[in-house]
Amino acid sequence: MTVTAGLDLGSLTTKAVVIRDGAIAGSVVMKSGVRSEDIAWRALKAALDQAGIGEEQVDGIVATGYGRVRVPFAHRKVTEITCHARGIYHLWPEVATVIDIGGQDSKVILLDRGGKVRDFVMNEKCAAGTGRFLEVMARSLEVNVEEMGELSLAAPRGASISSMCTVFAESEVVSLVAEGRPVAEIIRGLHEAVAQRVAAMASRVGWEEPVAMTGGVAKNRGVVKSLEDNLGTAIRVPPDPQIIGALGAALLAADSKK
Amino acid sequence: MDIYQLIRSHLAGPLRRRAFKSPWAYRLLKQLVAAQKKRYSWQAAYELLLNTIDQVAAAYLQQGPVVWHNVFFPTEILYGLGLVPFAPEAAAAVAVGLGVAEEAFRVAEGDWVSGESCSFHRLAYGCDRAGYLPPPGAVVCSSHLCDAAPQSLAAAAGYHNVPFYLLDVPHRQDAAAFNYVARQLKSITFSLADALGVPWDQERFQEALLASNTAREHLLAVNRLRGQRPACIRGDEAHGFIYLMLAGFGSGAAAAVYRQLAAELEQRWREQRRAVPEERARLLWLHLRPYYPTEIFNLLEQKAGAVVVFEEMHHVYWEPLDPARPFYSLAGKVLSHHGLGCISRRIEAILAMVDAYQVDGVIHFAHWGCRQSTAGLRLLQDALRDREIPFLNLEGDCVDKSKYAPGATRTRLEGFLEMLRAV
Repeated sequence: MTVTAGLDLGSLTTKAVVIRDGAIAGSVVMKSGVRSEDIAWRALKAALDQAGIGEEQVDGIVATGYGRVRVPFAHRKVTEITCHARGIYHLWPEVATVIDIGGQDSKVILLDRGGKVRDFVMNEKCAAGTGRFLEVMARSLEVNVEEMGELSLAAPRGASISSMCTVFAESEVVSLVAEGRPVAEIIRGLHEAVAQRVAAMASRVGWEEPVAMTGGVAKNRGVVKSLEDNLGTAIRVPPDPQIIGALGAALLAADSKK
Repeated sequence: MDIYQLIRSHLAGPLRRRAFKSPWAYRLLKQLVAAQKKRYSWQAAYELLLNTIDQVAAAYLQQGPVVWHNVFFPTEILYGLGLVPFAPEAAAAVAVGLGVAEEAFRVAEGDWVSGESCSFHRLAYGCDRAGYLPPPGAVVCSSHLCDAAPQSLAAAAGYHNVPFYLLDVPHRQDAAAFNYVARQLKSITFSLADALGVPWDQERFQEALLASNTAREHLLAVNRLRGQRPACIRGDEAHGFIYLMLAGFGSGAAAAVYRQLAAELEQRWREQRRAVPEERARLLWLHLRPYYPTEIFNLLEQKAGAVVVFEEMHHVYWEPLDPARPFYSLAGKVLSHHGLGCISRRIEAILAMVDAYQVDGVIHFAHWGCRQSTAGLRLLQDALRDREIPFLNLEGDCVDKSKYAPGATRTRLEGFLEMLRAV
């Protein structure tokens, strides 16, 4: 029996996945907060408890995400780029492109036939087109970020959002609300703006089908739909897209045991 | 303690401006540097620093007519006339190390210099207005490669009420272009001599071209050694010598520094003294790099063993100069830059570097405002991908540290290293 764990310390959430002999035995998602080490340990413990595994039975731990440098008990630190690729390759080996939209950044990752990263691109250093962007907009629109997806799917069209800067887009949203535009149309407009930005990144790196999407924003059906429309392809979304980075980290820990 | 820390700790506030104009400051500085001599891992870097101090002193103490030039103007002309060359863009990079940058950026912003323009030139502007730069007797500028320089330096000449001479460089390499550039170079040379009251000395001018050729030969020797495996100099160390490429050709000091560097490299290679304990990947660095402290080179070279074995800025793209036909051969030097004209010329040069230095991956630092180096990246990426050479574009700023995002940069670099399987 081989037990390994992966930890993904993102800007909004911390994810832990425990795998036993190649299968997911436990997984947890927690709010990140500001104490990386504490939350990482708590997430790991929670995932182990769920799996009914003692911490002394863990053979390897890999940390990923921006907080990876602050996990002293991890045996290795690997970037989200490699981890999301590895996680998706485990689920769907044929996937050629992974689009990861997390709390703070977006990435487009190309995989080769063996599941290795062939190339990648990341959004530049601002929250535009990320989960943080959608959170800020949800607050402005007085809706829950979790309900934005369904709301936007009901809208016949999207309002035009010209700015991708979170601060400027927020003032656009306020103006649209003042004009009386339906909230659903504004949300769809935001999703279309995110999709356009991500599609441009995908083009820059030379995306290929099949495409999979990971990260918390992949739970937003509206963003996925807008992105599918923009790219002109179906996008696969795992049942739990948030944990794919941590899954990949756990798999990498197991890979190094072989 | 590096030289910048030394200077920062000895100078504060108004003392800085006064210190630049005091001969005592340069004597003290050279003594401080000499006292640290044994701590330089490269004797050539030590000699470069001493020479740079001498050159800076000459400019600030007005030991000859000071001529500002942009970094792509052929400096052989300035040395050949016995002038004191001063490169404001290079001074901007130094200003970062001296801790002057924040003040200078505030001055530029206060004067409504657009944040969209190149930060090297914004910074040079701010340093100048704040009184940190030596006043020029004339300003010369080439129009090729750097888009911001002609506008920026023409404005500077206006502020200082001194002549401005533009070298207009066409984006072609035919006979008409050679003649056009050669005629301008000749005209600029004699106009400078007249305006600054310096005598024309044919022998001195030819000596500058010969010194340039000697420096070129020694730099080629350095570059050949850097193509060897294992790498014996880190990119972090080699980058410091780029100053000579931009402001040193035509001086005897450049040739001496390169000769020393080649000798030290030869010795280390013979002794198999590696740049890093375990060389896991060899990288080519395109364009420039941040001049404020970052983790970039430490992360790549010392932590991951991914050595920057060559920088694009050290590529020797020109043929030896002909002292019998100085202006025509200098025109050839200007026109043969691989970044001039069709993007395919730069791509061909970069692919040649990939081969010459046995490169595993290429990193391009896309400096804010350097549009000429960033616009053709897609074609470059495609060409490298055809050769299965991984490529990483890092968007950032060489001198404005407010545009540096350490977490994002780290993830990009580490993701790239994981692609190279260098970790």
